[in-house]
Amino acid sequence: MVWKILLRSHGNDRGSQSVDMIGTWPLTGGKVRDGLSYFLIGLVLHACSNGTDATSTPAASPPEREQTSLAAPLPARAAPRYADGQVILDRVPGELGYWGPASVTSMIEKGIKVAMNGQGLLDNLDDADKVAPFQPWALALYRYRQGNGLKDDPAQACISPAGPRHLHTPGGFRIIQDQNYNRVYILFGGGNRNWRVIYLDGRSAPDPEEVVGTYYGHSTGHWEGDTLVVESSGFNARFWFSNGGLPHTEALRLTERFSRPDYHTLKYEVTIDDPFTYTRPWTSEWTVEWVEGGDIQEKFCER
Amino acid sequence: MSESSIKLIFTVFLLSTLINDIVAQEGFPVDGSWRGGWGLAGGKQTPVVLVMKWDGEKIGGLINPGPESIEFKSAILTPETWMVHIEAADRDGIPIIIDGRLHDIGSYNRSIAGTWNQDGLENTFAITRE
Repeated sequence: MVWKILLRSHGNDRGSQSVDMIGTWPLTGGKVRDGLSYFLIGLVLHACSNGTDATSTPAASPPEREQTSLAAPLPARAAPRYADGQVILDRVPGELGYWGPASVTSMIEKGIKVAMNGQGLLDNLDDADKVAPFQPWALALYRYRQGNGLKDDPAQACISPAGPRHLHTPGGFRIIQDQNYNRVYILFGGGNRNWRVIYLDGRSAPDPEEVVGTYYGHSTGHWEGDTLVVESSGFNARFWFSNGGLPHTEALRLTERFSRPDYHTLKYEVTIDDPFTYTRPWTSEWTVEWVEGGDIQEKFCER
Repeated sequence: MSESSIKLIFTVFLLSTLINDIVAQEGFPVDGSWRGGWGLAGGKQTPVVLVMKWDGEKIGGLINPGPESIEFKSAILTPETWMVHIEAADRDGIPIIIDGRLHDIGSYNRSIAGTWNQDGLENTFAITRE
C-alpha cells in the first residue's frame, strides 16, 4: 500500500513561501490494517509538519474505519443562508471556520494547463506565453522574473500579497457580510493581517484620474443571484498581483465573482482587464476550501 | 516674492507631484523618474532627470521636467533586449538621440546606461530610477 502525504505549512507568511511537500510512503503488512497504527502514523506526520496542518490522502482506499480517522471525505452540505435567502460566504453563528487552502497557487488563464510549483514557478519557461495574453514587454518581464527564480518578489520585502493573490496565499481569509452598512469585508490571515472593503451600497467607483492607487484598490459589488460580483480599480503597481510574477499596471481593473456552491467550497473567478499589460481581458478561476472549527491567525511579515 | 522664487517653487512642486505619482512601480519597467547624467566619457557630466510613463501604446516623457522641460518626440522599449530608444529635440531644435539598456530590471533602483547623441557628439549616458 502506498500513501501520498501532503504536508502544508502555513507557518511562514512571506508571500509565496508556502510549502507543499508531497511524498509517497510505503506501508506494508498487517499493521496498516490496524486502526491504532493509522492513528500513530497520523500523529507522527502531524508532528513532522511542525504542528501546522497535515492531511493524508491514501492512494488506495483503506478500511472505512481508518479513513474516518485520517482523511474523512467531507459530507455534502448546502451553503448556509440568511433568513432572507442570501447565501452566507462566512461562518454561521455558533460555528468557527475560515477559507483556507486554494486549489491553485498562481493565476493562469482559465482552460490553460501549464505545470508550475507552489510558488508559481513554471516547470518549463517556454510555457510562459501560455499563462496569459501578455503584451510583449509584460511577457519579457514575466520571463525575467521566472528566470531568476522570483527573487525580486516584493512580498520578500513584506509587501502584502494584494489583488487576487491574497486569495491563493497561505493564512486564509474570511468574508464578512455587513448587511447593516451594505458592505462586505474580507479579512486576511496572511500578508500583514490586512482587510479589504467592498461597497454594496450603489456608490460608483472613483474617477481613475483622481484616485491615488492603493494595494487593494476600490471595490464595489452587487449580487447576481447567489454570486457576489465585485468590480475593483484604483490599484497601485507596487506589488505582484499573483504568485509567479504576473505584471500589472495602475490601469488594472478586476471583475471578481464569489460564490459558494456548497458549504465547504468557495468558487472564485476573476477577470483581469489591464490593457497596458495584456492584449485582451482574461479570466482565471479557482476554488477555496472551508476549514471548519478554526480561525485565521494573527500573522505579520518580518524581515 | 521674486519671479525666480516662484519658478523654483513651481518646479519643485511639479517634480514632487510627478515623482510621488510614479515611484516604486513594479509594472512597466521604464515608468518612473530617473536621475543621472550625460557627457563625454571621462569628462564633466551634465545632470539630467527623465520622467517616463507608459500609456499602453507608447512611452511619453520629459527631459528635465519644469519650465524648460523637453518633451520626447518618441520612445521605444525593445523587450527582447531591454533597449530603450528616445528621440527629442532641444530648445534650439537640435536632435537628441538616446540609446540605452535597462539593467537590474527587478530592482527598485534599476538603471539605464548607453549613449546620448546631441549636436553631432556621442556622449555616455547613465540614469538610475528614483
